[in-house]
Amino acid sequence: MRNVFFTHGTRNEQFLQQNLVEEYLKMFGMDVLYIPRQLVQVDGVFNEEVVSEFDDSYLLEAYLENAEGFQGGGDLLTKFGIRQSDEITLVISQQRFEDLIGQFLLADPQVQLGTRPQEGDLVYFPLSNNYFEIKFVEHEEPFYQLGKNYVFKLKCELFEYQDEKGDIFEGDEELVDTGYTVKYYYLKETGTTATANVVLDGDAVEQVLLTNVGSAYMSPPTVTIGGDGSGATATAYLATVSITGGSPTTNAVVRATVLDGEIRSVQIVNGGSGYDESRAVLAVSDPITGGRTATLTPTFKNGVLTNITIVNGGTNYKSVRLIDVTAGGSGYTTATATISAPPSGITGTFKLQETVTGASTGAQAQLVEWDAEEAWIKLKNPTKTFSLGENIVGDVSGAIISLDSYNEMQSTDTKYYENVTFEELADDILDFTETNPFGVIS
Amino acid sequence: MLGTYTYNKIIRKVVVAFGTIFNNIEVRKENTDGSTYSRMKVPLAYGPRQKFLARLTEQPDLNQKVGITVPRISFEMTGISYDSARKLSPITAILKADGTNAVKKQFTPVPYNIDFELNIISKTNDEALEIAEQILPFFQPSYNVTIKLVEAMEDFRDIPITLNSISYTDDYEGTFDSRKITLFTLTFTAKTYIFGPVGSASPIKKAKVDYHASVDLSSARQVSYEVTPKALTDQNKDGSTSIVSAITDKTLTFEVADENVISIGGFIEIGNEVMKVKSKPGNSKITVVRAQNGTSAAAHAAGAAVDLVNAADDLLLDSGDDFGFNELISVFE
Repeated sequence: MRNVFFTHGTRNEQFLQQNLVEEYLKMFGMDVLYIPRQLVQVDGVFNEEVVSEFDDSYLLEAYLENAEGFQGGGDLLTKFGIRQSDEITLVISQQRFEDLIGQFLLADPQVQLGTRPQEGDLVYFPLSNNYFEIKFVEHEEPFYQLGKNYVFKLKCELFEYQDEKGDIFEGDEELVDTGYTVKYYYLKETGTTATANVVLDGDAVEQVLLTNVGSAYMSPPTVTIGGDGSGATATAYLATVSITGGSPTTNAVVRATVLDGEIRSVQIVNGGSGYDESRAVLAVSDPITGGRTATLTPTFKNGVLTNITIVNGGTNYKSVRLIDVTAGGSGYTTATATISAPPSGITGTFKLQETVTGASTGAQAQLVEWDAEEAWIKLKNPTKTFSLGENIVGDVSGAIISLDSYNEMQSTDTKYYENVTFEELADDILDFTETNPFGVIS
Repeated sequence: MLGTYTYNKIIRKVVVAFGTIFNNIEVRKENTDGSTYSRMKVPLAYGPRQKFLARLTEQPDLNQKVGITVPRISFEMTGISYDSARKLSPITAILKADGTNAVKKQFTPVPYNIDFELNIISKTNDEALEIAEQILPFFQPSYNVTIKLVEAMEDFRDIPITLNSISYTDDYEGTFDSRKITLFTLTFTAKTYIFGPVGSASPIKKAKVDYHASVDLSSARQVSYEVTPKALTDQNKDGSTSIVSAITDKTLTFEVADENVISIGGFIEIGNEVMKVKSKPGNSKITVVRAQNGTSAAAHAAGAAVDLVNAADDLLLDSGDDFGFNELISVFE
């Protein structure tokens, strides 16, 4: 039995020691941000996190043990690009952790432990602007001075980031471009609505003549015939395809389906007859300025147009080129044609970091950046693919934009991302009979 | 001796084709209610890179906020080897039409196997499996891509990419100081061909055989036989004349604007139909045999152009066109 006349640390001595440690840490330490990990979902089979979030941060003084530089392997060029493998050891006071941080963590049901620093928590190290992840908490160094441990030693390595969500990362301007972010473009200006006049033949609609072709239509608009009669209907087309020359006996009738400014399919309504195949030429209407004219190849058999191959669908076919009267109706003495409006540009002001929702797809994503001048928004963590032409609405701001184009393959984080490079190069050298099965690039 | 400059960039194309297979892989996370929590396209890159460029592009600010972002896919070419099993006769040549009066020529390629290694790094096992399961079902055990290996020859080859092996490491044991790394390594072989230079030559437009009665070739030839290509349809759209009134698909004698340009026994083309002229009965009329040279008889409107199928069209024939033969037999005394 030990000699009871010698003490090995009374409570008061332990308090004094704790206070001296804290005073030392406050004098020679530095302020770091302690960021606890909220474990939202854990995989019970593989025993690993599925979803973690980082929403809160606590200011705490810590002493950096390795004063001469970072430990660890430094910057390494690996087969996965550059890995920065810096490590640090931070010393923090056990008592200060309990007082300043622990009590709040205990109240958070998503935090695993509140009583001590958790492995997996992050420490923001302001000196070098890095996020470190705690990989081990050493609580017995120095070993039981006066019968008690006063400090935690946090052995940390640089965090491996995987698009984790949370207020901390969302508020970090330098980190929003890290990981997978996609730029979506919207219409800078609202398009103009096409207008047309109706020509009557007796009491039926004979023709609908365009007076303004409009602009910015992502898909063919609907045409509504108004007036005192009934039953007239019409269909609008964004491109015309015709066969000229070749002195046919009857002319071929061709209609093109356009979507997102591109000719997607061509229907031969009537193949015509008697075409001199060597003299017949296929003509496509011009797209809006800046677009690329489509390339279509006709095939004839015995003077009849049998097939049209779309070599290239072109771009920017966004104005109305043709209106077909599908039913003349009856009883009209006057008639008007109303063509539906193209999608609008932007309304309102987006708020950074807000969640945006697609009006038709219901897809959600986080808005990390936007530029009204260049007309794009940058989104992160999309839950689905947004569709072109749909309205994207800011949940907080209520601002609305109409999606014009995007390229989901294209990440704005280009530090380690050659997906698009390969896709574009492969488009030239791979022979796909129909489409690229590996991905679509706009 | 070798020295004919050629660089078809075949291995580079195979690298691109291999890379593009894996460029659209996603990692998705779900909420507990099954809805999507987030989606992320897995970044892909060719592993080897120049060190200075890596530093400049990935660490322009000298410092990364985080150690690395995961998951990532990297791949690299690990070997090139000759495949004797696929070798064909080296003297066979491939010919391809090249504009007017020229053909491109290339000899049989040499079969080569190119080995690739694909690595997948992720934070968790489940993600590594999620990525692997998007890849593995497509390799049975090979996946074919059609690559335009030599653009000039329009030589599009199916290149099978075979999955050879998979290894999976998950280092989790040991002290807490060491890093846990989840890594999938897949090895593949792409069976490609390496082509030599593309040469050019002219299409053969005349073949001639001389017959000698004696084995002594210095003796005078007795008979000479010569063939040249003959156009079956009109090539130059000359529109030398036109028909005066409409004809049906059965009309055999009809009036043309100028019958003098048409010769008896010659061929004419109206619309898509080729006809043979039998006679010229007078009054600017011609009598024809309809639907010649594989074309079908059709009605033609008044004023339709009449194209002559003659020697001018023969000269315009090119590689790949359908043609008949003009024969010339010369007998020498």
